Amino acid sequence: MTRKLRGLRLPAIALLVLLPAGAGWSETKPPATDNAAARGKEFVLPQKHDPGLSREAKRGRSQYEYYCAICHGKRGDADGFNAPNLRTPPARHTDPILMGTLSDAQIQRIIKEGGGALGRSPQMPPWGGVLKSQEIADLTAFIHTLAVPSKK
Amino acid sequence: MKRTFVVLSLLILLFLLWQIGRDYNRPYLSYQKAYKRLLAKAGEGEPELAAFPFGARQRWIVGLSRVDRCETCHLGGEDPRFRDAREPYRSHPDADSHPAENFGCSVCHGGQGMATSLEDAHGPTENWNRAIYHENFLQKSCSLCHGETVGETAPVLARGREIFYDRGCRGCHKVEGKERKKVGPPIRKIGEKVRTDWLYRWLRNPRGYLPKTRMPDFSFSAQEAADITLLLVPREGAPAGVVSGSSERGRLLFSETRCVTCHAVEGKGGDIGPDLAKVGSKLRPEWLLKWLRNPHEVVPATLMPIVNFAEADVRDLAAFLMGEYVDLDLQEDQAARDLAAVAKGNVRNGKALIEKYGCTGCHEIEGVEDRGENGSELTRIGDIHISRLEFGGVEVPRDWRTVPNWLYNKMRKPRLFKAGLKMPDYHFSDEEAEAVTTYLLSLTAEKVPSQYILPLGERPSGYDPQGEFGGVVKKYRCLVCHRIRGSGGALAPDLSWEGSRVRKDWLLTFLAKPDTIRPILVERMPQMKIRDEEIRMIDAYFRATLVDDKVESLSGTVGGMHLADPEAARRGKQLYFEKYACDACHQINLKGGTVGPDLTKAGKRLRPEWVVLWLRNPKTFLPRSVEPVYAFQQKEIEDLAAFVLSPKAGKGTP
Repeated sequence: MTRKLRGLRLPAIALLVLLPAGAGWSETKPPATDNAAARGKEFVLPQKHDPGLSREAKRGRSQYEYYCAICHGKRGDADGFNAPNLRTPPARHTDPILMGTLSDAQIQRIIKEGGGALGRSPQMPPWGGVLKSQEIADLTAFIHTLAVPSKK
Repeated sequence: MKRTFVVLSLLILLFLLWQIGRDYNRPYLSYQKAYKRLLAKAGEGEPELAAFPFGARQRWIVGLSRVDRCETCHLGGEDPRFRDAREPYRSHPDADSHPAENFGCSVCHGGQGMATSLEDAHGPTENWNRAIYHENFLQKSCSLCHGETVGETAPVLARGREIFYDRGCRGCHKVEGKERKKVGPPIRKIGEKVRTDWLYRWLRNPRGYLPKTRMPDFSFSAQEAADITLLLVPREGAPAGVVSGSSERGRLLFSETRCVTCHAVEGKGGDIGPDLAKVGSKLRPEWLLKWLRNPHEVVPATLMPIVNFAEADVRDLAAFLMGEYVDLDLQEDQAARDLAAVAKGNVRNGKALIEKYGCTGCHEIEGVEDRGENGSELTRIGDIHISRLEFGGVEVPRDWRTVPNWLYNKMRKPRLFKAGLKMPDYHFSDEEAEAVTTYLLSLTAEKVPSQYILPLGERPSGYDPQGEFGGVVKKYRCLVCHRIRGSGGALAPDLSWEGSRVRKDWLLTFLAKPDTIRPILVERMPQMKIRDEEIRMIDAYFRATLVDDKVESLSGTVGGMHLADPEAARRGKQLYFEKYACDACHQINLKGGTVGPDLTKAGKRLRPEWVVLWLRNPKTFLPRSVEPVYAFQQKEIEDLAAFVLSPKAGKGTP
């Protein structure tokens, strides 16, 4: 019996020595604890702004608020401060039926060449002289986030 | 013994193989394999896929002394196919302006560029201070190359910087190279200006009186507020007299003068001066009379213009303000109770409090010595090690313990980490706290080599008119709202080219009695009763100095146009309403949009050269105007100008 034990002694020592060494090279760390104490509850992390929007749409939004919201409204409800002054009411970008009938190319063309170019109201001016094509693509991406298809 | 040896050798061999396998099978390989699958889905060719290079990838940016291995996992690089891919494969949005080849990643994003595991690269880790920056703070890095006055290019950084200096942070915190300005009004003989009971209530809760005040909240106790009040107003003055004047006429003057351009009343109106809704419960009438006669004599640095009021005007206006704009929520005996509380104050404690909280950082206070900044220096706060920031008793998970997170929480709740800290509460919104944090993080000793430096944004131009015109500009505080050659505010039109824009007759009439050109605006030029000789001098300066060659050189072209031809005007009218629908944004005779200026009287106001240049390219002077650019033909420009400049009959026409 003593012989058997003696036979196991060396490998056991080797394991004991080597295993922790291996663990030391490991690249995983203990997981962060989430159970902050009561006082830590007031400590908050910065939250992402609009996590749902793609990067293009986010860029488009700032252009939308600057150029489009005047008539189309900040959220695309066609309620911008200048909307009541227009002979033809501005397009309601929150309307899923209307937005469903317009392809990306059509929307971009209206932005670029104005409403008159597609037989719509010329009160929608052409922005091709002001916005680059990437900016118009960004705007289109944002406009698509405004119309939420109703689930009824 | 032999068997032991064999077992042991096998164990060591196994262990060796295990380690080799682990070394081969690096954690990033799984990302690279997934990326290869995405590439295949995106239609990458077979030969390219077969030659896909597995392994660590590294960029050495010699100029910035950085080695970044981020692209080992962030594999989308600058590939447009991965613009909206999930992380870590999404491509970089600014491939054009900030190619990874020239900048790497960590110089802007932070993190440990050389690491190849998620935890080590993103941090925070034990010995690496710079965890990658949250996207909300990322603009801190723009200032490294572009300077801190980046304007619209980095709006969060710009806003943070503005808040930092506007709210008086510099009063208590040193930032090398930045001037310490006192952002609050000087406090001299304050007892002559305000009612003592108001001062006591103000100290306890400034936002109770002015919801949008810049004054932060120190959470003074009743006793502390009494101590400070008694120090500032040792003797209660004579009971306030009553202003003899016609409140009715005062009301008229208040609206004629358009005081609401700068002063809101219950939140409605401008925000340059304080809200006046409760001013009658704050001021002493004698002081208000003095102020209305000549504010510059009372507070030389004030933004308030001198309005040439007659003495009767001053009395009537004061009677109106003191009588009408009172705090209706005050209980009847409130003033008496507050005064009784103040009487129990302790002047010595008051002085100690003022010194402790550093009130002299924002206010010049009579009888209290300013001993300079009493807060920590922030010149290099962006470089500070997290171990030097106190978390007090607040338990925060280790992964959250980063400098940006600490600063952000400090901005949101300045006394979060320890009760009784000196820093007052500025009631920042989350966005404001983010902006200030972003600016603070940008304060660093880090330098980039000169080939990376590219200043952006508008720098103060230093335009400061002297002489007679300079005197008038200062008297009426024109540059609070108007901008001239890069100096001044953005509330009112830029006057840098006003001599080339408007006609003389119109300018003389307008300055004498300003009306509005933009129907939508609440803000309108105040009626300051500018004197005739001053008006003539302003006009002469505009004509001689504030002109632009691009406009003046058109006089020949415009001379050859048939702008007075009624036929041209008729064609122009058609273009205006039908083809281009200019009425979507511009009003004529009260019909049309309110985005651009009213054009009913454009012929009286604008010079033809200006109109023609504007129609050619509306962005010549104001690149950010919302006006669309039309490609008008030469003939159309002539016709449109003829129509715009023609007299238009209708009820809006004088």
